[in-house]
Amino acid sequence: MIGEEMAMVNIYKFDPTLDKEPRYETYNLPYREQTVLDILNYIYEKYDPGLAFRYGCKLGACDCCLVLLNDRPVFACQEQAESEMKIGPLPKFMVIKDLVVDFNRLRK
Amino acid sequence: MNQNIITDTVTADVLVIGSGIAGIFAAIKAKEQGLNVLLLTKGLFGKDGAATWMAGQGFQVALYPPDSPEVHAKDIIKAGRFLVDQQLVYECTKIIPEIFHQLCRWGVEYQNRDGKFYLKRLSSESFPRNPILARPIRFGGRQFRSALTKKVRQLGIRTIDDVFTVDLISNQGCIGGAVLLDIKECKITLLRTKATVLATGGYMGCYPKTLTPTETGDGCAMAYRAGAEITDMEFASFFPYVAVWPPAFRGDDWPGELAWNLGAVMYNRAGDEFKKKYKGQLRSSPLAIASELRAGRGSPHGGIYLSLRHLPANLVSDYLDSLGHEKWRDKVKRVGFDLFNDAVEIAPAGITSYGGCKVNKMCETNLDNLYAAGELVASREGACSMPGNDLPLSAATGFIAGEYAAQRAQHNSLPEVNRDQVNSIIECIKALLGTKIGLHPFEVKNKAQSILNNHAGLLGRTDNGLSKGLAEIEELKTELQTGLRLTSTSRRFNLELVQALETRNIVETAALILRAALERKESRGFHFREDYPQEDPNWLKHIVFKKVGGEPTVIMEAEKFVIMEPPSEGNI
Repeated sequence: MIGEEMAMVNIYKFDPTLDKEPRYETYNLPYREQTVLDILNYIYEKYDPGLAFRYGCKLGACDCCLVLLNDRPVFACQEQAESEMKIGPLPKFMVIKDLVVDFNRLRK
Repeated sequence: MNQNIITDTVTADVLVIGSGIAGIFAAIKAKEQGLNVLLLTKGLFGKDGAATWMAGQGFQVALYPPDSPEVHAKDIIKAGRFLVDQQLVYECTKIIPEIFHQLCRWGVEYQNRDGKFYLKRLSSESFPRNPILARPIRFGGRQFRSALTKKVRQLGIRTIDDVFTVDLISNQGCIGGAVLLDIKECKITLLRTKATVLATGGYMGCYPKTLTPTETGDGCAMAYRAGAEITDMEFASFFPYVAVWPPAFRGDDWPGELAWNLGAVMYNRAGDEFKKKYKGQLRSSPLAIASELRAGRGSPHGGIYLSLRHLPANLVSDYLDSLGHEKWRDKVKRVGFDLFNDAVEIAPAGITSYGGCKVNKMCETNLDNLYAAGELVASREGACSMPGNDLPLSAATGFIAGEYAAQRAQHNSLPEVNRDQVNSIIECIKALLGTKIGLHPFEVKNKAQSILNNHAGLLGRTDNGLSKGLAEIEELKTELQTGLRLTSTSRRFNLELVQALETRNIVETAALILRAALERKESRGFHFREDYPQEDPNWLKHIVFKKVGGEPTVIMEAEKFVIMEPPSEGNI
């Protein structure tokens, strides 16, 4: 498609009930003018139905889609996708799975 | 087998499902009566998709004479084209001042001098009725969030995050709790309660373009399945000013602020200020925009141009620097968008629904022990709403539902559970997850949303279109019964599983919307029938659905005008 570029996305994957260690999964995918949340949704629908992430209002008001994008905390629903992205969970909190954290429990 | 699936049985006096302003008020009221209350959300408490957190500045409250709760109620009744439950709304407007003062005590700050609040007049108000937040902020909801969540913590109300209510458990028209899915652990819990308040919000998440993506009609669908009466499903509002361009703002309702506060002007692709040429109901911004877009007069991105060119650049710039808009100012700069010269492109998106559970003035449904609150309460605003009433009416119905649910719980013992019904809910979950072929949940969700958008959106409501839409939705329903394709076997935060359950509710709700819109052969408020463009006084009645033997039965109920009669002369 016109205006489409390829993005390299590295996504944090970790299921504490199954995995010993977290790992990053790499995807090369076309993107254009999308948000980080759009990209997560694309990966969920096309490649990884087990990917866990949160979304709420999609307006930047509810705060639940906070993730770490290239080591910077951002609202996934408000942030424009970039050509190279490392997406992980917020570092302070316990990981429930992948990008989903427990805001009530700090990471040990 | 089923015993293995249900891992837990929990009991509570009052169960509140949904943690927006309605659910929170219900929980607070019940807790104040010393009961064991459980407050659930399918997301994170205080950080979920509840519309409350995204609310703007509107909070209508009749504080000082000559304004009064009665005048406030009458304004709502008139705006709602006389399809408002007059008794219920009057009960609400009577307690809204008390709720307002409570919110102030809990930390929401409004501009006042010596305790007298400044009030702003919004459209359709007989008197200025809208207090002004002390600090201008884009999402007024943020203030409510800190005040309400603090109060819930203070009172020690037990909240549970990440729990999806699959279905209510009912025994011969009596609700005894719910079957819950713990999203984090994939556990099913049987929750037994003496009284239940449904406060799950609306159903605008059933539409593809929406400002409330997590409001997937869950409450409507589960109440209907349990035998509750559902009414007014044809009425829903769409916010006209949601950005489709530039991409960094796509989906954002911020252009609405530009339209209201700066009088931004709308143009179609030919450069016409098209709104002037529309008459009657089509004059409303969402319908006028939808008509232009359908006629192919939108931008290549599918939007209408919204321009600030008529204003001096430094005025616009000062506005952007004003409190509450810094984040958007910075974003405009960051993406290099020339807001002073270029137009933002906008299109309508779903915002609020007005149908749902039919309740009495105690917010009680037709089912024993089941109450409804908030956006799920039908006939609170009728066919059309005034700005600034959603939030106070949600709080008020929560207040009322919580109080009466608590009274009920105090005099009730735990209802007997009908094991067969619980087993059939579990069977249904299993069937939903049963097959590894067929469609993914998101595919069915997308299909249902597009059917609804094509046939029961702002436009396209005709006998032909709605019948076609209904047939398509019924087909999807049959497909759902044979199962969905779930490929992830993960038991932790399984999004597919949640989406499958949401999709089941979307399809159920969409069928009711289409059926109601097909049934109402007139245009009134937010419901525009292209083949019946006039308001018809013979239609001063509600379309009520009730599930009897698996099929919806339709009951027509005339509105009772206990406070005010519609004017007899044709145009009301």
